[in-house]
Amino acid sequence: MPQLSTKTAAAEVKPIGVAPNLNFCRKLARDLVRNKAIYIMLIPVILYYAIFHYGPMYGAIIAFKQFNVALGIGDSPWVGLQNFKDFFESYYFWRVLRNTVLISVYQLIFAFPAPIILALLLNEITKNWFKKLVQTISYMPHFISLVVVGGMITQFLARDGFITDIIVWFGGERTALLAHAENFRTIFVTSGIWQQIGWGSIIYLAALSGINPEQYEAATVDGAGRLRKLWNITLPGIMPVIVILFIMQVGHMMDVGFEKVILLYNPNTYETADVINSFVYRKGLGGSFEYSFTTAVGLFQSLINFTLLISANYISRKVNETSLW
Amino acid sequence: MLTRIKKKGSSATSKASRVLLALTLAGSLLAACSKEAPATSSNAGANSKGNEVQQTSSFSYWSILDANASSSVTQLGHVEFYKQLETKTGVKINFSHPPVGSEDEQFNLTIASRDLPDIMEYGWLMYPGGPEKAIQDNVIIELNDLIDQHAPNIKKYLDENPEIAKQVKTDNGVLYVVPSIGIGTVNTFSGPLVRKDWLEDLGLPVPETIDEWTTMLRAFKEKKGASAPFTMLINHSQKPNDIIVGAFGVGREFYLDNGQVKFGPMEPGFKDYLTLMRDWYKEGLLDPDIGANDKKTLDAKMSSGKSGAVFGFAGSSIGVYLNANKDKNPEYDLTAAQYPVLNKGDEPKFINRADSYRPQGSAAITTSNPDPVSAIKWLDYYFTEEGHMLKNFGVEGLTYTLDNGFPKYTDLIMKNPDKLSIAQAMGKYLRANYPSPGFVNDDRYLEQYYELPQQKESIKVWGKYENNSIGVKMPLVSATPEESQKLAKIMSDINTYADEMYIRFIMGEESLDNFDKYVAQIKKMNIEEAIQLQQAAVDRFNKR
Amino acid sequence: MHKKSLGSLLFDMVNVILMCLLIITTAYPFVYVIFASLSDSNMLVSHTGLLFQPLGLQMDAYNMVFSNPNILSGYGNTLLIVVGGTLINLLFTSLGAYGLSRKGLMLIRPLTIGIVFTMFFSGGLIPVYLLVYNGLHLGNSLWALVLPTAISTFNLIVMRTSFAAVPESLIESGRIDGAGEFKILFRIVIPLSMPVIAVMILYYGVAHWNSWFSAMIYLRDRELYPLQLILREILIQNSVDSMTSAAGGSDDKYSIGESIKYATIVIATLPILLVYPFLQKYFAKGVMIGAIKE
Repeated sequence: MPQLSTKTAAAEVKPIGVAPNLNFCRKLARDLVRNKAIYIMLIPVILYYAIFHYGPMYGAIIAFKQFNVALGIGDSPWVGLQNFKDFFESYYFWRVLRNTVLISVYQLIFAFPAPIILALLLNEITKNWFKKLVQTISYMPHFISLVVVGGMITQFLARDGFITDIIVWFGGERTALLAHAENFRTIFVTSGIWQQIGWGSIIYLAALSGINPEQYEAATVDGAGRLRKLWNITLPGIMPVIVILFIMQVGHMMDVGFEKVILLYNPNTYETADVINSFVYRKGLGGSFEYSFTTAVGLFQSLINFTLLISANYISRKVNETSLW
Repeated sequence: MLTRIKKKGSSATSKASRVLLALTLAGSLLAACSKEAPATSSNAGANSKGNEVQQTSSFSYWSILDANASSSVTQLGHVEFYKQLETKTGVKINFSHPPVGSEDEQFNLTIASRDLPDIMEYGWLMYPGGPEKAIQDNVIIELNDLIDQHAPNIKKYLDENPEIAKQVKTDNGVLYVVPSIGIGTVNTFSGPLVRKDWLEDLGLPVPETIDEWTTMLRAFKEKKGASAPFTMLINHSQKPNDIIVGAFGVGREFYLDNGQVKFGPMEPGFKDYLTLMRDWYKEGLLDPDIGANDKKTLDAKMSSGKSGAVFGFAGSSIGVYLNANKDKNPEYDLTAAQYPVLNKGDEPKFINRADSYRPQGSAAITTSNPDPVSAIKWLDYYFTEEGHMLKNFGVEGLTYTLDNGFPKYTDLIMKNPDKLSIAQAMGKYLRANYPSPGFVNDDRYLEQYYELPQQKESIKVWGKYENNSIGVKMPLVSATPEESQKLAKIMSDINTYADEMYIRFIMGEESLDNFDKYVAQIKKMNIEEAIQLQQAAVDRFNKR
Repeated sequence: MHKKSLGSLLFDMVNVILMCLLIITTAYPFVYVIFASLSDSNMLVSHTGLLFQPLGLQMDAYNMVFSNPNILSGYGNTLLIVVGGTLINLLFTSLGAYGLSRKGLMLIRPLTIGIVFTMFFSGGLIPVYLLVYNGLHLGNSLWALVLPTAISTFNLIVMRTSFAAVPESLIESGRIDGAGEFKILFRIVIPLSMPVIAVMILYYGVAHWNSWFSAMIYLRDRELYPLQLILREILIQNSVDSMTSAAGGSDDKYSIGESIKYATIVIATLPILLVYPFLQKYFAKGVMIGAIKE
């Protein structure tokens, strides 16, 4: 809308001091009316989040209470920051924090690009049947439950396991690989890549299929080689998806899940394997249901995660146009 | 322009309307499939006075559905015992069971939703703050008066067995459940297992002392090719199953020594234990991979002959290992060994004896129950001779016959025509092989339950000295919420540290010369306070 | 026809080799699972290492699972949940993705932040449970399994990113033609974003297919249990780990747990593997380009 008329209207009618607020309200009202259809479209979505996410959010206060199931959230006694103190004062706080961060960073560096690379490689395959075959088979491990995967890993990496055999064949030492702390992170991240690479590549394949083949044709006419096409067409084409997923992964740094860790670790590897969630899990095994403690630690993790996300998003916005908001 | 958009597949408009149609369809189907949440409060019969047991009452009853029963029925009401019980007492029970494997979660959610069933079977010691708190929080009710006035059989039993009554009461003498009590002379179902055929081949006796164990393990290694003669699991939940540590006079975790609570891993005896384990490890007598074992690899090692000695259960371990070999290696045989001691003639003390009071199968009456008097009368029936026989042996002629006064299970149980195992057949008709209100573990049942001779023998061996454990094992104490929170905070760090050092000492990565430094570290982590907390709980228990 | 350079040919060869390696390493575990499910449990217990064939071929595990009275209803319920749930998901998520992808609206940014916020902060299990069970009275109904999870914020963001990539010119011309926003969404944007829609169907569908936790806490009647919950129960029932099932006996009834563990995976996964090829056609190169050409 023409700037002139706004300014004139405001100058004519309202005193200076009140103008900015009213201006904002006016703008908002105008916006709502103009884009009525879109906002109406969003109503069910807003309702969903309000009811199922913001409604129950008060439950987070049990982090500051000693939660008792029977008394309920309202009547459970307040303990202030005690739960947080219990966590921060733990002898192993820094260790589990460090392990969590390190594993997440390794995953960011190695596990994040893996599905992208797979998608790009698949993209280069010309025989369609082969491409489909690889796609369909490569995502199968995603569906095998963690318990079975954990069992397989334990077996294959045992002293007489067949992966150990391969390593010995290449000149390594024969030993139970999972018994040594220095191996844990490698095993954890690598097995994660193997299990998720196929499933993770699906979204990138979808993004790749959205790139206009005419662009490639034009590039060929211009004499561009495969590498150049990759760099100038393919990558930019899927960059928005990559960036968004990367930002969201940064936002989950504190979340290394306990189930897989617990299946693969043992006291000898606590040094590198024990992460925040596995540590909290062991604490809850004492028999008393440590809801409050778990919630407090979760709140801490969420805070860090959200901060990381906001930072990553900000940097991304400055560097290119893609960002969450 | 809109109309000119063509795609492979259907047009946009019909797609949208199809989506809408499908949604409506889905919606109506979902609506049709949702059912009313079942009523959990029930109506008592019209007359609730007097001592008649024939009244038309009904109660809602929450309990775990044991695996042995769930293979045949979807709710306990279909078990023959409960059908008979309903006829005899006139009380109808509406069972609800949490999904298998998620009982604790479901328990919490049920309480949180305040939609309490009338009777709840649960290990109330696990309730945060203990059973007192459960009463304080208005979840369950005190039973002392009810039992006194309306449950003569329960009252009689508790009066005649004060030691057991002590286990069932809170620190303040309040009765909070109708308990499941293990009677029977044997209460130990797990312990050391060794390869009997190997012992026979090698001409070795079943080991009793640590030295005999060492000899045996050496022979297993050198002459039988066992790469992991003795194997075990070292993760946290497996610590109570450590069969070697007891020989050195200390427990694996908290234990009692003349009424004083002590923490095993910091006691001098533990250093001797670690020394032995380290020597075994160095010599290859202890599984070199104990750091990485899980249950599957453990079972595989024992079944395939890589190991010759292990901690096991009478039922599952003996059964699994023997079964795995009955075709391919019929010579394979197992025998139970006694819990080892240091010197010949000593008696083992740290034995895995189950407490008489079995919290898991005990029933509490909730504050939602509209007719506690009828409920307690119904529960009293379990403690009568008639109720006991019905529950553990069933119906005469159908599930057992009397052979000179001895109840012998019929083929319906022992050789079930539908190919159910003994345990599963019992689960279908009785309630004998897992805890339940009243008495379990009747000697006469136990004799017939374990089919294999090795199993029958094993419990006799392991149970021989089981009463020695009474002075050393931590009793069933209950801690206050503050106590348990503090304990959890202190012990999670200490356990992590102790578990890590444990494996490092054994594997030789940490020299045992540093044992004192390790004890000092544990003290720095506040073990003394934890011991005091435990001691307070034990003292309260003793005063009950 | 261009001649491929030597470097190009080499690359293709290496690529194919890599893909073959990938196939072997990702297919084998599933093959292992299939073999194990057809094996005799006793032999499985003492076996370590790779499996190249079933040990003692038998169908016991499958018989055990399929003889469970709730298996059929389990499949039925799951089918319902997957179809109904995914449709609800698609509807809500598309509305949200489209709305949030529009630029220039004042409330979009705060709304997006507010929505992303919920990915990080939540009230925990108990408040949601109380809301669904006591507040909305959805206990023991299948609605409790699909409404609380109507939108996955992660999927919403991905879909929004995709919708934002639809050329503005097409949307403008739609407006010029007089179409309202709903029409634009359903007739222009969604048809042009079929690859992402296909991915969403896969993500949401698989999530519903695999879910058992919500069913576990909200459902009381076993006839409403979805497949995964039934399978989980069967698995635990037959596990030799539970102390209470210290069954005696020299029969095989009880180490059957080993092979059942694998059979449940096969039963639960096979249907999904059969669905994927149908969705694959949406991932073909340039599938949507034909749509944009007039």
